[in-house]
Amino acid sequence: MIAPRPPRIRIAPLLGLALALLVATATAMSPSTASARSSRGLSIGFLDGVFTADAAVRGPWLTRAVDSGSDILRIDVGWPVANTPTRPANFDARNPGDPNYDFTRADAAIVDATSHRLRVLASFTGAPQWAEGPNRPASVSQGSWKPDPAALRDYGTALARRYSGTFPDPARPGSTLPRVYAFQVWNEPNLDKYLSPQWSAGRTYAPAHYRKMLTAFYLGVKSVRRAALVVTAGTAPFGDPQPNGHRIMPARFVRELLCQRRFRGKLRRTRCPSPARFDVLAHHPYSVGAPTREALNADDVSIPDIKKLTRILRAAERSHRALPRKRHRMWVTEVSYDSSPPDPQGVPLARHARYLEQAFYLLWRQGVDTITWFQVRDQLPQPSYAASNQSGVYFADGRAKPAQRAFRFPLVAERAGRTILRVWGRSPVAGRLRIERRAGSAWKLVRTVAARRHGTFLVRITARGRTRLRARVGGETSLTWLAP
Amino acid sequence: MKVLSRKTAILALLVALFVACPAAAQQTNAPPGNSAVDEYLETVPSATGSSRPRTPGSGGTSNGGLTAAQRTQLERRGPDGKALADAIDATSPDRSTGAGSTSSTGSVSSAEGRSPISEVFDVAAGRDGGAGMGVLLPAILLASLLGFVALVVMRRRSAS
Repeated sequence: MIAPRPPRIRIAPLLGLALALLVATATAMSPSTASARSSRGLSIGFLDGVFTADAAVRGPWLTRAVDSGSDILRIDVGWPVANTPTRPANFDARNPGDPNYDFTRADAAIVDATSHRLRVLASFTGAPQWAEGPNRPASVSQGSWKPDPAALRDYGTALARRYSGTFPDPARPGSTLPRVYAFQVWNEPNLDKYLSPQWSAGRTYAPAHYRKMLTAFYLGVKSVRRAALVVTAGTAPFGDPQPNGHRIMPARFVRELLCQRRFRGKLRRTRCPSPARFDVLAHHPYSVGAPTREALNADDVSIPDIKKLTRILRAAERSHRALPRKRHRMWVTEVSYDSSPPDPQGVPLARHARYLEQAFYLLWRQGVDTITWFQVRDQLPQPSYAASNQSGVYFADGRAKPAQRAFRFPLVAERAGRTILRVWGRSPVAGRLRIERRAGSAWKLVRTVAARRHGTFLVRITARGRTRLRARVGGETSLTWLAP
Repeated sequence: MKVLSRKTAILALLVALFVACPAAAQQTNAPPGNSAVDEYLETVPSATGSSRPRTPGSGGTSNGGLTAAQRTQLERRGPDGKALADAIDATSPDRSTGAGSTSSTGSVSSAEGRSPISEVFDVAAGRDGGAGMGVLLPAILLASLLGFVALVVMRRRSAS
């Protein structure tokens, strides 16, 4: 006898409905204030010669840097040792207290910056004569000729010791010098102005030589303090397309630094007995147009081209051509635009501010986590506007440009779909951040975000057509962003 | 010397202008306000880029300055047209190198070169840095799917 079948319950439609409900719930929950916070932060700050100027000049600019939302400064500490053809007698290069060193200016700048609660990236470029290679041609820039890796290792040790947080401050008996967060060895080593020769006998020379310099400096720093970061020299954005020029294109430079070559559009590793050691890869993506403009040459790197470098970096990590074995960070240690006024060839002030915000967003989106803008204040036009930098977020007289507000509270929106806008920003203070859109003559709340101080946020909002947006938090308002 | 037809001549002139324009343009671009700072000048690629010109008539049109349709159109004009097409292909930038390519939108949505599936997954998980439930959403979806499969299997077993 066949037992009667129980009534059949149709499970599949019910499960489908449950699944749809779950997805709907997830979608509804997704714009919550907590999840709108970005897990990736962005440290910003400045590089400016004014930070190593006399204390009376430096002070107000440090305050302005802090007021602008900085949390890091790139300070040029130099290689402050006797610049003689031969190494000074009885010089203990690893001892930061050796009388042949003169860190007076660097000490004061670093003490002042850290007292403003700013982290310091200490950088230097140029070797003393005795640390250069032999037979420097007269046409070559002083300090750039084949710097001795062994001397860099010793100097790395001295710097790490002096700025470890425990070294006595000679200017303030009883106090110690502060700890420096990161050290950057050299500047733009793909230019012969800073590192020469770039080429030798028709082949590249600088990338392999810089690899030796970098690794030696890294070992010197890490022999004292493992936690200190070692940052590669930021590469200049453009090179010469032909061999034997004054500049090597940055993507090519980094490829060769990290023992790789391009073959049929793919990266291939090359023999590498001593891979580069560092914590952070740095670049200077100055652009000749808007921040969205890609470089014309495949191996040049402007703002939207950072991915060319990260691709090389990740491949090098996989093939152990970038040591230590970990994920290396990506920083931009110089970028900027000149503004008009004062520079007649610069970009108008409103566009200057907009470019700054957009540059920050595009760099952050490509994985950059630290940016130092060149510079906090305009240079005087000496010898001319075209040969000097008016890229500050302040005019030389201390008046703020619109870019200062953009720097402190950047807000960018880009279209992610016909009805969707992706909105990114960095909050100047902690609090409940409101994103508002212009509706007629009023501002209408679109979204709120629980923001951390200097934390980034990225949210999607529904908006059709041209939309004016702004953000507000803690009594501060961002510039208005017009989304297409 | 064979005289080109008017249509071929106009076409040749237009193509020649197209090829000649980049070469005649300024050789470097400077960042705004820094025209005298030569280390930050961008070199404009020449017509041949940094690679050697290809041999005329070496075939292949996908990487040259002409599309297949343009080449066919020129070749229909006879030997002169073919010679012209070869000359254009030999002197134009190689598209496969990526040199000279620019984005019309400037979008960096594929900045990390991830696959579309990864992108969708990341968006669902909120890994693009913004909205989303994090790993919770994929976990719920996966658990639901597994539960569904298990129920179907159980039902089939009990039915048999």
